Amino acid sequence: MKEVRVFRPKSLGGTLRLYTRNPDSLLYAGGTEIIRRVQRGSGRVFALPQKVIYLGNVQELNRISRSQRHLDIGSALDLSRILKLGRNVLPPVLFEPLSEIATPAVRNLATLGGNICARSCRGDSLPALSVIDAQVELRTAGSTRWTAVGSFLNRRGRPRLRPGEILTRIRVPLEEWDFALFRKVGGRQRLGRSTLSFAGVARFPKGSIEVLHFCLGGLKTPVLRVPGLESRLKNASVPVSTKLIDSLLADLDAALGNEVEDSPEGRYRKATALRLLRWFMEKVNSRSLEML
Amino acid sequence: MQTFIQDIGPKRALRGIVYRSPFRKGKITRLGVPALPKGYSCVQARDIPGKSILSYAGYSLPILSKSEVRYLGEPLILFCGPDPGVLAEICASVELKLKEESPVEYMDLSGPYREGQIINVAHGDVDLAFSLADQIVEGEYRTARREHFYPDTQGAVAYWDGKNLSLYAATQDPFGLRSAICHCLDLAPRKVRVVAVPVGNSMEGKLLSSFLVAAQASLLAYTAAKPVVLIYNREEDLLFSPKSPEFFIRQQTALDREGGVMAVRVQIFMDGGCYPPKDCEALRQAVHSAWGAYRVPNMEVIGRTQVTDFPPIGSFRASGRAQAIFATELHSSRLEEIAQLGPYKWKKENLVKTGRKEGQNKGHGLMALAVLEEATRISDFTRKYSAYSAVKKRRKTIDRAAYPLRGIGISLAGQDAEGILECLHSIEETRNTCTLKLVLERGKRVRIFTSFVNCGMGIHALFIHRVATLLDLDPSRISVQPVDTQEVPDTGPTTLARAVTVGLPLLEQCCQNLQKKRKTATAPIEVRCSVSLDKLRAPLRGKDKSRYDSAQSAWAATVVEVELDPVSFQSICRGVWLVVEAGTITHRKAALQILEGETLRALGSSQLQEYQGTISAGRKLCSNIDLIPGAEQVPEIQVHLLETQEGPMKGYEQLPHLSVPPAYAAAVCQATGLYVDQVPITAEVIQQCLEM
Amino acid sequence: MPGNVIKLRFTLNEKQVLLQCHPGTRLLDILRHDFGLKGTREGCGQGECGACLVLMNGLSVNSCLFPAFALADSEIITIEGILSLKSFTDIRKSITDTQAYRCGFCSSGMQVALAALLLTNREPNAGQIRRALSGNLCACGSYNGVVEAVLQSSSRKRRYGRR
Repeated sequence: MKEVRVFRPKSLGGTLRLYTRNPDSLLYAGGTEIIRRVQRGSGRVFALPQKVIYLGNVQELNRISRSQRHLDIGSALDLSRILKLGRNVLPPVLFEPLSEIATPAVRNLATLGGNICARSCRGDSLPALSVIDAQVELRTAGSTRWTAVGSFLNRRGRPRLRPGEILTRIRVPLEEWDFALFRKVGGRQRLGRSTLSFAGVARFPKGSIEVLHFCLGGLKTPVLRVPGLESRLKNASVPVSTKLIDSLLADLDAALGNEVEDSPEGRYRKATALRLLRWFMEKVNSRSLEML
Repeated sequence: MQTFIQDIGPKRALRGIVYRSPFRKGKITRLGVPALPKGYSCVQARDIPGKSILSYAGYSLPILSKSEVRYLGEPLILFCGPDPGVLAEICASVELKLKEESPVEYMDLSGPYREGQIINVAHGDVDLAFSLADQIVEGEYRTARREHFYPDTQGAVAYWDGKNLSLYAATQDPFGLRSAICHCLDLAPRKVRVVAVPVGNSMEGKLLSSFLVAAQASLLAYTAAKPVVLIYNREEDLLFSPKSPEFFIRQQTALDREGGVMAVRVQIFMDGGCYPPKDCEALRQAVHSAWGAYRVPNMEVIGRTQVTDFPPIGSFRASGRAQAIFATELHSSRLEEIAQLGPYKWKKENLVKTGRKEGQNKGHGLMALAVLEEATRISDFTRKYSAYSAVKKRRKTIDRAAYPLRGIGISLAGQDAEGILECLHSIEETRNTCTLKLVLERGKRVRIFTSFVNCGMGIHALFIHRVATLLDLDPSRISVQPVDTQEVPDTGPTTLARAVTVGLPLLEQCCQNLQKKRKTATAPIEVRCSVSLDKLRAPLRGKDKSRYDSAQSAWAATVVEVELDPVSFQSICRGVWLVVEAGTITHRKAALQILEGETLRALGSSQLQEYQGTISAGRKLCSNIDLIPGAEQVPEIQVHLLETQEGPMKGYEQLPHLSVPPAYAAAVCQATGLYVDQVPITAEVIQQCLEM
Repeated sequence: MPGNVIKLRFTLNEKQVLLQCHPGTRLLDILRHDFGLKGTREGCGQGECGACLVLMNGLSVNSCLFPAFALADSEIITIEGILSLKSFTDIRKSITDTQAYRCGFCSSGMQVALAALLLTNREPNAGQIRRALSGNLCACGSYNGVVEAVLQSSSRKRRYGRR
């Protein structure tokens, strides 16, 4: 059996220095996605790489801090503890996807950092984090930078990490929205093979749209925002006209051209993505009418 | 806590592993086994001392393939040894070369194809009726191949002491397994002992695969002369176990001017897989139950198995019958529209009035009508059907609907015991007699000796309850002897239907005989009762008829109400109403529990889930499995038992699998206004139908 | 200490234990093979079916997804502990007093999930019980009976004033 060396740092500084010296180490927090990839059938040992850095004891990565404007969530904090903050603290558009990830037992282990980085989790937290302009903190032993969640992953869904960088915190803005929605289609315990998710937020004081963001997850581009469509809705009066909605859908249809495969599943996902946007806009219109 | 096959096996036992083909099809040109370390053994096809083909209930397949590969994952070599890690490395070192061929993994109905078995039934003059018809309605219906997820993987533990073999196996038919092992190892039955370990829910595909893994474990123990534990891992059990075959059914119906049925022509195509059964019970069931509960004056049904390169098919719950009833029920919804009768009225008018089979009483059709009426009443079917139909008519398009799409469907199905009696007859060693034994011990304790195993159907509890009632004893004083072929008689393979149609009457007879013997003898008293299956298949008379009324069907009518989301086309089930008539049911609570559980499984088989696994060499394989609803997805299920107080209890566990899928499909059709002619029904399927 | 073997100290069913194993050994295999605790089962090996659930520091986790190296200093309770330890006496009846389980393969996983719920909420409603069981797959479809049994047990306690 291969030799595996496990490091258990207790501080972030120690973790970063360790990772700098051992850049080929596997960073392990909840491990729920990693462990599936290194299984080799029942009754056999996980095929771990030679070096593992276990993040479960690193205090800075396992806590939440809060200010008036944002929440900073440690990347190794398990989802159950994040969800304990409740809907009144966590933005509802983020609470929904987190509470639907996997099972209660998996949520006791899985982390938000892992959910952002794992390719198989594209339809979970990413769309919601993107629409509220969440950011991720990336640190090395000698540097710190912040980047938007939306641009953290490349087109193939791999994290854009520089050598020695670790995702340490996720900054969630605590803004008020007039309307926020999350929907997930397909996936665990749902009917059919295709997974797709939609997150949308909007603010429309005084009868016109100040800002509207929407994002699709689970397509070829892991986090699909279409800024051109969002900007067309800026300053549009609410309720939004049917003509404008139809025009948006036609443009989204064109934008989705390369995002889905040419198969029954692909055609279903494309059609459903368009229906999701229409449904979101109709909900925005209903909400705006209620507010008038 | 129950003990399953994964929980047993001595620490010193060797572990077994199966080397499987990573190729789909081809002729083997080289199969090179690496040099084995000390303490490791291997078995190839040429090492099998007896018969290398496993035969059971009409199905047969090789234990290990010798010269060709017919499906991905086909077993080629067995290894055993102390360290599973080393065994994995040995498997990775096997050299397999073959002349690959392109597999044909789907039925081709358009051109010439390889035919297996053909069965046909006919009555009346179909050609004449079609020539006189006012209109002819055609439809094609498909039930996809799939597999069922069961969490307990297959396995066996074998011990060979040089003369005798002891085998621990999770099997529903320990005597059938013993027979198969005797043929495989060329041993006399007295040298093979099978101890049946509890089976998880007695599921599809487990009958044959339990024999296969047991034969493999036995061969390894025989070769290594040490105890061997062979447990399939999750991937190999799911991906390589026998499948539920695909069915494709063409229906043609000749109607008169009022829309009445004059004649039907049915063509049934079943994918027989790469090892098609010679005598296929599923095909026979499909052909004989094609028009289910309905009165058809002229009928022709032809069933064919087609040989493809799809993995082996297995014996599945209600296999054949469920697919045929699905096609008929869905087809009848079109006939209902043409006749301008609602589903309930159409079914009532076309229901069979008298027994179609010899020996069936005239109440046969009345039972079917009774369940239909009760299901319609408790579900408020007529009112809801009209309301949803009106909404459907007003709606322009489903993907722009502002509210959830609702629909309700109803279906009718019957389950009989004939198929269960048949399956014993087609294995190599004909087992025509079923026997059960009771022993009354001192202290008023009773032990039941039977080969029926515990498989999630509460059979042992049912037997204990029955004996307690008949002998007026406390159930805690009654036990079932652990199922060991050296200790118990052969009552046949275990299914709930067999347990109630054959096992319970034997038990009741034993209790009667015991009561008589008690008057003159003292404990311990042993009584043994047997029945011949030939006798059960003939028309019954007198006392036998009241005990073994296997000719009568149990009936179920099911109503399913669904709601579809117009954005995602995902459906949720708002309610299921299942009304069952199955004779005099003695264990109501357990029966309701079983029917509710099977209804949930049947709903799952109408939907789909995807499992992604990794096979050897890192190749990924996706498999479609029946959805297993979770605790939050369980709809409101109401199960009503109509107790007619007429005749003994009949088997009923297939009924949800026969009646739920067509009712679900009919509900989805009404909700969407689309003709969905296949199952499982997924959101993608609805999207495809919308685009057509 | 050689790199392929680690020494682990943790609490198992309220007893301190010491184990030497490869750091990548699954907790599921440690429990079943090293400690002979067969109640924790493997169903899917992917964290989907819940047959392998154990309590770790009071929370349910999938032992099929848990490597040995992350186990140090944890408190693990298996189904055997739940069925025998005094600390679970209060909740034990609620989760075992049911004939709803059919074949029994998934029952230990369900019972662990219910124990995790009842440790923090002694009178859950049906929705909360179903949510707690949402990580358990029962191929026999016995959920309703299990939910009903837990509800009845809670209402029985309320009727007799027991908490």
